[in-house]
Amino acid sequence: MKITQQQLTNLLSLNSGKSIDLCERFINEFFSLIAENLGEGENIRIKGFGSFKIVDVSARRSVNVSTGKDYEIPGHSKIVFVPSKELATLVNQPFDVFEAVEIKDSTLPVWQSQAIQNDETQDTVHEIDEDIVTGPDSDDSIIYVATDSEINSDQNQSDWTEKRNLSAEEEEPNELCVVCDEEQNLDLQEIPDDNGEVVTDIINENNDEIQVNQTDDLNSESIGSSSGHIKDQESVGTSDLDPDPDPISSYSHHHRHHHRRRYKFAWGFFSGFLVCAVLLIAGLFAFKMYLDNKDQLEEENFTGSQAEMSEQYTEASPGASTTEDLSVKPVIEAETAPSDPQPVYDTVTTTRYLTTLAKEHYGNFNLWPYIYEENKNILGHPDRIRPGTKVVVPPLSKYGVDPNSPADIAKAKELGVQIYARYNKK
Amino acid sequence: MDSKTFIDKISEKLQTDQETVEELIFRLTEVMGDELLDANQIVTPVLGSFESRKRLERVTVHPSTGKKLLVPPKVVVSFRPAPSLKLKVK
Repeated sequence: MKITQQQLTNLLSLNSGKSIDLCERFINEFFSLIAENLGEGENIRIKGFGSFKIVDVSARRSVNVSTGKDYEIPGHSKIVFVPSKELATLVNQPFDVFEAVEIKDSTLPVWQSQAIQNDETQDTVHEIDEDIVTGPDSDDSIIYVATDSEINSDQNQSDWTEKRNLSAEEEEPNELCVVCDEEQNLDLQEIPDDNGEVVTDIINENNDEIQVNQTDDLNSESIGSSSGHIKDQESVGTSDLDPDPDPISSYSHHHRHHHRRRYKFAWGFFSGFLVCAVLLIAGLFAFKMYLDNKDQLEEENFTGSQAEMSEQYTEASPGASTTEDLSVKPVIEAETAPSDPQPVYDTVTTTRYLTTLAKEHYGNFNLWPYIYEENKNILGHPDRIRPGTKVVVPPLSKYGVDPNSPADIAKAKELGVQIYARYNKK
Repeated sequence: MDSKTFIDKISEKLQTDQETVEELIFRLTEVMGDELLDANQIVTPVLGSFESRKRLERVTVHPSTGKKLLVPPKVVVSFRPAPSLKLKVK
């Protein structure tokens, strides 16, 4: 992905905390100054960042790739950038753990001998490192190729780096394996084996199913299992083709395997998270169902007992005078006031708020304040009602509210604001 | 140009003190390093582009001892000058 100078400005501003304006001017000046200097033929070194040098390249003979004709590349100058140690180590983080290791036995494949000798050569490795690090040119990149005695000359080094660039480009499979580590080689070996096994398994299954299918087909097509079988066979058949070209696919598998390794962790995490979320939602639903059931049962009990009580009272006062009747009535009404003739209960849960209940019972969620007012003795802050709190849903006629009139809705909203105000003042 | 003169020139142009410039340089290397770690390419119209390249592991010979060495793979910063700059320098 390309990062533009503008994006760099934003990132720098974020990182340093300086204003975007300053960062923009700085970055502009930074790069311009370097370019200017180099344009005038002057090398420039920036501590902590790196150094830019102009290097003279002598003329050399080369072949024209299209015609195959010999020609001479004239001598010219080129610009070389050598990153500072800080920048280099920062960028090389994935490979920081590795060190150069001596190879004793040249006949063994390199990685095998390395495994054997890793322990033995710890001391020698340290020695070598020291030699390399404290060498004359330690400021620049670490010395690798050593046959030429003139390794210290800039020209050779830069030429060599140029060559490495080219050959690296050839050798590298089309991607930059920044995350890849030594196990890369092992993977290449493993994958063909895995594929082989999978292929043979599928082939075996395939054969079995073909035999079974032939007899089934003759009998009938309507049997679900046989059609299922056919489907299976087809899907298996197509997947059979995939792992077929083994040697080529192992390489591309390595590609995909590579990319997958990069994202495998994130994907696994994400799918695990999804599974947990689904289970949680299912659990919540079950809980809700349980609560609803419980509510219904309790409601029935309550209404049952209420009916009994009112019956008792009315029975008790058949012979009473009218005045007594009157006195009894209010009592009955008082008794039954907490639960009106048709008591409506509901529960506030994590998914059903006062607004949800209002919407359900009244048809408009703005009328929640009336439910709140009805139960304000048991409710605290309207936003913090404990899930499972049973509230009485009063009929709107009690407060004289018409859910269809916008004026009443506005009144309800005001009431809501008032309720909040009560708490926010605290 | 020396590192010091470079910082001086920038602080002059930006009208800020040298410490700020030094800090900004440090932060810039951090930011660029991070982007290069993510295998992104940083493109500057005036100067050129920076990208990270992987150097594969290889077998070399130690200069003084003459012993064979296995050098591990590493990631390096590669710089390509912008065409305008290349022309200037040629």
